[in-house]
Amino acid sequence: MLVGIQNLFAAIPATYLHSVGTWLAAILTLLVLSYIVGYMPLYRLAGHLFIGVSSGYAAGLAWHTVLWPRLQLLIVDPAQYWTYGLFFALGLLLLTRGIGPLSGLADLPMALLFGVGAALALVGAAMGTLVPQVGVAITSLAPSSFGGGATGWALAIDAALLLIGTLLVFASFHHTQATEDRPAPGLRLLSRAGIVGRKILLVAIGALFSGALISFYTVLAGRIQFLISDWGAAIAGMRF
Amino acid sequence: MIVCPNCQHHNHKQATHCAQCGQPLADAVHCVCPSCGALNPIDGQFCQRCLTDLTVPVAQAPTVPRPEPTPEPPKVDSGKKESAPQAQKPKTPERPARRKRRDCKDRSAQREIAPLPDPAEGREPKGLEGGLAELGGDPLAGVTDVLPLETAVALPHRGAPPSELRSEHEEQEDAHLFSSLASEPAPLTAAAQQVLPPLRSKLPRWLKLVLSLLLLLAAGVPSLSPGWLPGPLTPSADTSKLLSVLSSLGSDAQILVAFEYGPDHAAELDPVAERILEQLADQGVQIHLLSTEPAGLGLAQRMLHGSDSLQMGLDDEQIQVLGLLPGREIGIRTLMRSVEGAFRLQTVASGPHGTDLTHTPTRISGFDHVILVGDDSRILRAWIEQAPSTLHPLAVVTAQVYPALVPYKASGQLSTLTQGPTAAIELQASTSRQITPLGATDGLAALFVVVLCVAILANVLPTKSNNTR
Repeated sequence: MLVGIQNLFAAIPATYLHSVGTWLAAILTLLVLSYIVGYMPLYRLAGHLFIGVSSGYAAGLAWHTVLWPRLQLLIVDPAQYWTYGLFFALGLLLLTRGIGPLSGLADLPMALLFGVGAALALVGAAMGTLVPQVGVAITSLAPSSFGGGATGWALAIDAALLLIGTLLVFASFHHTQATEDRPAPGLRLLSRAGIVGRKILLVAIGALFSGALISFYTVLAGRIQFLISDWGAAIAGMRF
Repeated sequence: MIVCPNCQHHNHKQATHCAQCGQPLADAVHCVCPSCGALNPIDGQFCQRCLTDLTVPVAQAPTVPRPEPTPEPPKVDSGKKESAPQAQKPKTPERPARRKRRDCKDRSAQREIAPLPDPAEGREPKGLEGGLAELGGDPLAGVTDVLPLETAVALPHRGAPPSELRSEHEEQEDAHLFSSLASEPAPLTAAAQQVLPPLRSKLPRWLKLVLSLLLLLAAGVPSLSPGWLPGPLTPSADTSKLLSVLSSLGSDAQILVAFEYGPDHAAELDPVAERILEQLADQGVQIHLLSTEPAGLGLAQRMLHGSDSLQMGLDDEQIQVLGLLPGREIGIRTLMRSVEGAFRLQTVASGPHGTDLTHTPTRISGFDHVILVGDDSRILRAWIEQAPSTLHPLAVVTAQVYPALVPYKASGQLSTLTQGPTAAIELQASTSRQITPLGATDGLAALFVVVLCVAILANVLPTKSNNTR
């Protein structure tokens, strides 16, 4: 059947397929943009199509590139690739999650999956993020360390600002309040530093948000460009 | 302590079944609503589910059988020792009318109080002093038996005196008050406005539509602009470094490119990915593609088959699609240990789905450079964290995740870090290729101006209308 479908598509001229693809993409783009008017069935249709197609594509790709080749290895030479049999058995145990009396069997592969994943993520975060970032944060503030001169001073000031900003943001996560019986002037200073730290945090979040905004508008501009250039060319090339 | 209604065994306060006969003890601490059957606290006046008055006579609710009234023994309340006259109020037969109305309470009270050793059974009540005298010389012996029952009957949050000590009128007042409170709509809006600042009023529908159309117009400006402003931007330091790295590669170089983005950011990252692949094709290096997401692999294959310039510049042996690398951290970790282990498919002639790894380095250190093109900071972080410290990938990311990855560039874990649209424009300018409409400076400037105006309109107008109101 798949071969038949492939032959069918092969028989269609490439230019027609390209035109059909362009029209399909343009219609789906317009369906998504119909959200401007409101939450319409057309928008929902496009959303369902996207989710369905992407899920189907992911399942097909996982079968063809991950599961089927390994299954072949297991079938051809089970003595050498017996470990794949173990992995397939664990995968099959995952499917018992939906069967009431057997649902407990799915705990074993889930535990393996989450345990190994969490361990790798934890070690990776510690060794790949925490240690290197702390190492970079510990830096000299002397201008001579940066080569001296105006550039050295500028870089030293930059490093100092980085250090101060880091400390202020750390202070913003300190929530202990000074009380009347325990005035603790250090705590008051810390809470005031935390206020400044929160402002710095807001600026950082604003930078992240502006980056997201630029990203989304770039995508939107790309879609509009597609509608104007590609779809426009397809419409202009039509013969009535 | 809960007394079993069946065998009178004294069970633990939190027991659900009798330890002696196995009888369920749920009825001993709850009463059943005659209307909906829900279990309610024993001293509840209204059903928690349907707000039915639980104090109505059983005759009006025939679904719940009413037990025969039994004479209630005198109840000794340690907290009311001083008010002896009230506590010793005799349980005369004049009370059954009220006891019928409080059926649920009385049933449980019977179950819990019935098994108590009652020295005054069959006699007329003689008050507290008389009762204590009947108990013997140690009055605390009787009190210790009663106290746990009191705590079992009365819920902790109810500080009201026992119902026997309250008048009929008081209970009716309470019932009316509770009924009115339960039937009134909760004034949450006013309370929320006291706690939270008043929310900004929503924009009218027509204004939303106008602003959305303005945004669409702004997004279309790059495609329609005639090119008023001169020239693209000067390449940034990172883009220049990326370009110099790509330009310095020899024909025997091995490059691993990870497509870690989906179709939702394809418009942002496709141009720069295509420029990078074109540059690599011009250098004649061996390119290996992979992705940890199915969509990324699909985009890579679409680019290879859909780009005319790539098809012209690349030959089949120059590019190798390794495939999907599932498992995120686990998959990347496996790849870092052994490329062959991550894509161990070459031993079987698996037809069109097989991957030929004969020209692929067996270890990650065999690649000259690793290029990450991604839109998800978590996946990119996984690459950085799972990679050996000697690996310094070249990253091209969306503007959205760029700020989150700047620290890795500062720490040297990333060799270069560039934003997608900017890098595309700069690479186009540096390689003297044709500038796409998105790369036109005036188009982006116009987009920025319109977006800024829309943002001001969308934020100032509602505030102004709120103030005038």
